[in-house]
Amino acid sequence: MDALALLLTPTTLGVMLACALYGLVIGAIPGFSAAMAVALMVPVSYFLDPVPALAGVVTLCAMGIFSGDIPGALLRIPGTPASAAYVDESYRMTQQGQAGLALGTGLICSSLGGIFGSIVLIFAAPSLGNLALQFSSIEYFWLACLGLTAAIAVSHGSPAKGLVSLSLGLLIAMVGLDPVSGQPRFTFGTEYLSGGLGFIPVLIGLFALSEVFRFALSPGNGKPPSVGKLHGLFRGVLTEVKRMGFQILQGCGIGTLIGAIPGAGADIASYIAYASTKKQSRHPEKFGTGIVDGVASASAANNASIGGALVPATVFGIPGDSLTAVIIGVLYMKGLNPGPTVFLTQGELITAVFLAFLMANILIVPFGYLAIRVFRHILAVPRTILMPLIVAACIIGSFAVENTVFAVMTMLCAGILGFFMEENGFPLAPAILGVVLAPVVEDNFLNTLVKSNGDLLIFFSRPIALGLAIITIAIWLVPPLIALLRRSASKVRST
Amino acid sequence: MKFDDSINGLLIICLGGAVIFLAQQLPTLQFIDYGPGFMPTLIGILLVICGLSVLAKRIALNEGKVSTWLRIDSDQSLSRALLPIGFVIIAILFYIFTVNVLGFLITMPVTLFSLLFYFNRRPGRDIAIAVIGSVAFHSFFYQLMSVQLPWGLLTPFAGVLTW
Repeated sequence: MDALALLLTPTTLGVMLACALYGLVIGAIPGFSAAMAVALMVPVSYFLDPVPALAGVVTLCAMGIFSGDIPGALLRIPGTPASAAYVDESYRMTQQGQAGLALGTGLICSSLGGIFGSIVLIFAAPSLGNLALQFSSIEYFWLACLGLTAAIAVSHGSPAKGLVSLSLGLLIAMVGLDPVSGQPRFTFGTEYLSGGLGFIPVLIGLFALSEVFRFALSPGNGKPPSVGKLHGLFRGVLTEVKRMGFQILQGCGIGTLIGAIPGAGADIASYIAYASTKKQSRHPEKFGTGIVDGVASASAANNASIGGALVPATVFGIPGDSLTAVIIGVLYMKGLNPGPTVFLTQGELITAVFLAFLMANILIVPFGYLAIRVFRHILAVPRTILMPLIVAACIIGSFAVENTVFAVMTMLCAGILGFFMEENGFPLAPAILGVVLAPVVEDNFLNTLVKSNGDLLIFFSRPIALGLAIITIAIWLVPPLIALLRRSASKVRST
Repeated sequence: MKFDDSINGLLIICLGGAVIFLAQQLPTLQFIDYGPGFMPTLIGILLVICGLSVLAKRIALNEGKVSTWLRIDSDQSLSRALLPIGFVIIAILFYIFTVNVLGFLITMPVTLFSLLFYFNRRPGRDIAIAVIGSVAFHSFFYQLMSVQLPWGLLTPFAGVLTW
């Protein structure tokens, strides 16, 4: 009840409302990701109390992920990567005059998925927190390694490029004073770097400014694209939702589970849910031709994945994806340091945040309806106006938190780096996970070694740590070994 | 703006090498062999290995042949396509180097107008958006969020311009 009282204050509700509208607008604009929306929101959350700040961020995530469906269905351009799995399906429905059914089903399923993920989060996180109280620095070290490993294993494209991205993130976090000895590292004698590179300027640069550079490379003609026609929103939706109850529930389960795996975000969750529904369908050949079954479970999965991702984020401080990496950053910023003890020391605050997430997912239905209705107007704002305003927001956002123009310089460099990485096929998500997890890995590694006088065997001395170590090392070694065996087998066959 | 992967690979190897070199200059802890340089060294080694892997893959796939070292997803020539990016960078650098002298309420409208005009070429509308946008950002961050945005030249008028 105390947590609910913390949530139901005018400030918190006002911030949630503003973030809901902001998330819906940004998510609905093609090419703008939910991570970008959150990155630009973080400097504002810095000046708010913990509950409104975090309630706003989780509301923004929920709304941003849903509203990515709108341009997907009406323009065939996914607003966020999380909607990419079923964009063809929903657009074909629009071409067949069923845009209302596609978007209405997506809206209800997103809300159901989000509610499912929130309930799992509310019940699973504190229980896992109790278990995690027995964890020492050894288990945290392996958990963070597992998080980094999974980030590479599930990132798109070449694993080597994913690993480079992760290394760059880790390297960014190495700048500043060493956490154990206090020795300056990569500061090149300048005092600006002794405090390290700020997380928020780096985040804004990687996710928001890099997007501006990509726009600048091909600005287009500035005219809004033509939007597909929308008839009868919600017509026949409830019947379809009832018919597909099992698939939607399955999508919720897949989304929550995939979301909880470090590195696997909403996009992967929706791809897997879509593929699984198609595999189980009696008419798999109809998938891709404009069938509502393809939209339902995948849109439930992508919203459920956020709740799933928040479980390891709050219990272990291990981000599930780039969005939760940002949320972890905000949790640290607001003094709610993620970890099992947060449920003991600040239980009410963290429960209030979880309840805010649940509330946001319920509010997706009315707000989403509104966003679908005004989508044409959102799209009418030319990008040639939006992008300069985003540059201004990037500049002020990075300046606001650190109160120095050096932060703007950091943001600019991170933006150039992010642009270079994306253009050359280096995924951004592992980099931001690297920035967040580097201190966890390093602190726990060095503190454990100090305890054991440098004996490395201590990392295998406890049962849970040993289990985590085996899983982590298996993910490192098994795929290359399998590839090697296959290659030698094919060589033997060919000779 | 895509570089050929052979260049990407070489860049990563050089970066990894530089990181290893710099990490070796850092001292170790008194009681254990792992000091502030340990993690950076590991990262440097990882970068070198990954760089070699990117390079090897590139050579294996195309047998070392390179059609273009750098290409862009645009119909324009390389220099024309990169010009807008350069302009955005210059606009941000202008803000960085002048904001403390000129103040936010002068620097931001100029920065914003230059970017708007570059992409829109509608001076009247661009000026209006630049001024209204800057005042809105200032009101939100300075007045509401108490961010100490620099006043610069306008310091004597700070009291008048604050509501």
